[in-house]
Amino acid sequence: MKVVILRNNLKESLDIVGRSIGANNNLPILKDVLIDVEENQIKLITTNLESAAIFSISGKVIEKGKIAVPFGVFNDLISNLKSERLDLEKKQKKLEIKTDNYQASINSDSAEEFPVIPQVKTEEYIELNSLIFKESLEQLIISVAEQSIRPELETILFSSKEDVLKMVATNGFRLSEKTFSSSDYKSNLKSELKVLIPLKTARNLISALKTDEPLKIYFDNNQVAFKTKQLNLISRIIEGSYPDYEAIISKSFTTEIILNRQEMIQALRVSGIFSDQSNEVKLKISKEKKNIEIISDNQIIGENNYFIASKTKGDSLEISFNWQYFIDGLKAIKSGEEVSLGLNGNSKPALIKSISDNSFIYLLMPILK
Amino acid sequence: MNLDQTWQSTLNEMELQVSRANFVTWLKKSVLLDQRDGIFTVALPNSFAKEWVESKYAKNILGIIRNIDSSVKKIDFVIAPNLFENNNNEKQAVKNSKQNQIGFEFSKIDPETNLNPRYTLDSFVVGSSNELAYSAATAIIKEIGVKYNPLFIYGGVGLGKTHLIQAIGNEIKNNFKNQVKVKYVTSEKFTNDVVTAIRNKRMEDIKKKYRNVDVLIIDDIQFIGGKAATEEEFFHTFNALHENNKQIIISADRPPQSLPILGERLNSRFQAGLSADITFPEYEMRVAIIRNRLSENNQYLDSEMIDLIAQKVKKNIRELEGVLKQIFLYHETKKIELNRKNIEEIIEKTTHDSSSKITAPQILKGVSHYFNISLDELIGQSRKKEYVEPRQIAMYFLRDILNMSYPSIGEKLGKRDHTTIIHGCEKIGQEINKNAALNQKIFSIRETINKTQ
Repeated sequence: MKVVILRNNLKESLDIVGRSIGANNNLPILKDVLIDVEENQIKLITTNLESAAIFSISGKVIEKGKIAVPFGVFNDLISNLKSERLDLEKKQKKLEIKTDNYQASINSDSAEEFPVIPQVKTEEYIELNSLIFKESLEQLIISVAEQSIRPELETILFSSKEDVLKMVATNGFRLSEKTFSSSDYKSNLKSELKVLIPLKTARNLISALKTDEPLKIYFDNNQVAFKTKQLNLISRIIEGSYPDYEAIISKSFTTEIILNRQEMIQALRVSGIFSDQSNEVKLKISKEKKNIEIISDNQIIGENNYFIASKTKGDSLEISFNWQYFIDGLKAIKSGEEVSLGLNGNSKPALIKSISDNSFIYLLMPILK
Repeated sequence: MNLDQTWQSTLNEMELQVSRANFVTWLKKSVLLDQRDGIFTVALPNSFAKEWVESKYAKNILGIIRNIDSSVKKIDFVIAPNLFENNNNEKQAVKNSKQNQIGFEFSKIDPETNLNPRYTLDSFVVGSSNELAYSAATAIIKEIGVKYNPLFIYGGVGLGKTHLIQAIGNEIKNNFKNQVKVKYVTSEKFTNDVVTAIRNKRMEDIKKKYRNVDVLIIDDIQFIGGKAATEEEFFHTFNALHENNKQIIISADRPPQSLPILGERLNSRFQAGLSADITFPEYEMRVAIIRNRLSENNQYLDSEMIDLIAQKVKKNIRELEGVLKQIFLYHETKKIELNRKNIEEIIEKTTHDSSSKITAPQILKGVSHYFNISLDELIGQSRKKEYVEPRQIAMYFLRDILNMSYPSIGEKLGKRDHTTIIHGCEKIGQEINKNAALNQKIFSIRETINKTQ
């Protein structure tokens, strides 16, 4: 194996594939990155046996071949070299790196020992814009359960039914739902889709997707593959059935309030200073008034009341929330100045969304008095 | 040697042939799932393991197994993550120190299978009226798809058919840790799905939904009758599943012979299966059911009251549950001691309510609907057997439910003489006591009448 590549290209790809490195102690070779060079393609491959990242970089191929190099050492080295061009050559079980003023030889492993990456065997896919997809993942990831007795909640649900694509995340008391209409994506799916993607994969994708380009997502029975021009990220899918979340999303509300998004974020943050252990703030909503009152108090610190301008429709009520969870939702709604808060009494979910964009909604359960 | 032993020997041999690191990573979690016609099926936890083992170890494994069992011709590797579940019980849910934060109320019904987890075999009270159906149920759980296929459970309303067939589904689902795909559907939902699929030209979705299963449970199949497209789709679905030894469980309010949709084309396949009826519970079983419900809900009634309820509420289990609910609701809201008198009143009110709103035209409509004859034929003069029985049953109901006088019944049923009516009512009345099948029919028809507008 012998190639000439640009240091920046190599660094960029190591950053991306590095996130899929395995921490499996049983198989030391999982800590390696496989350099796989074909006729006119150079690929870097890493895996932790749950997901795998394959990244193609451009370069000059002098001789094809494969070698598995310990990622830590290799990455450290490449990060600290300043030269533009690097010559990489496999010499038996070592990888030699040469620049115009530097030479190193890293003890490596045979590619034969490296796991075989399973390919996703299907022609059915969904195609969207990488950056739009990445932004959606960021909106969803706030609601995924980090650790739960129900492993299916530690995922993001992909659901495609009758030309509508939805992505959903919930941890049992909050929920994010993103809807793509048929003009936002292309697909050749022949039937309904319902797939659970692990949280870790979503995180990997958020850091790996950087370019404004199309992303194709392929699904088969056990795996999903995310493909852009250079990246192919393969991940297992989680088995299990997702809760019936559609039933809890209300279409009508007994109280609807319109607020300025940034103002509300600030109001909550300030009120949060005076909230107690459970981050509780109380909202006092009155149908006559043109504002809502946010109240918080803490035995030791003190108390405060914040009045924020609003347009209220419907019944008056008092309802409490965890201010941190509320802000998370407001921040995830990236667009628009105004948001609407839909309520059905003080013990049912609140629905928060931008008034100018229905594609993303955030549901938050209140705190019980 | 059984499958486990064979595989253990194979693994022992492989352990000597590959490095420790590779053995622990790729082979430790593996299971010999099945052996049929020389094809051995090995299950692995994920795609990586499958790729590796298939490409690097398949030949070795084949050779090793051949030394143990020379019948082996080929090894299939499949991915079955559920068999190797990391004990999630070990994971503690992150302690929600924010204790007042309440959670969403997701419905308990599993959206994949449509099964309600409260229907279990454990909570199903068995007695002489349903023990045949119950043993058939336990038998097929042990041998899915091959023992009694299809399993046909029929009986009047509120007797536990849905409970039993859903319990079979839940039992299978739990025993096989989701490895066996179960789907429960009411024929109403099935019909709606077919209609929607046709309208949106998405027949592929329906086929995938109902044929990619290992166990299909259809409830109240009598409601599919009369809708051509749905009957057609059901027929094809049934065949597709049956040919592949996939278990089919069906419930109805009448035996298969009385269902035209099943009778003609599927009759022969039904002979290979088993039909079991559930009749109404006798006194002892009613007592057992009451006791069972009370203990489930942590409620208490003394024996005398249980006896009273069991004596008076005979129709079906749903009615029994309804009465119990009313009794405790009354007790909670009025805060009065329960005694013989007020329990009798509650029973009278609860069981009477369902009949009070029935009208004569409703009965006639219900009966003719059930027998698939027209109102004219029902009250007409024809003496053909197919009209006489329904007519006599209509007489019986008009008397039993509405307590109409014989002459008025005669008026309603085609100006017949009141003596004819007396004869008809008595005949049916006597037959009911002798003929369990007729009894069954009567209950089904009563339900049809209740549902008729």
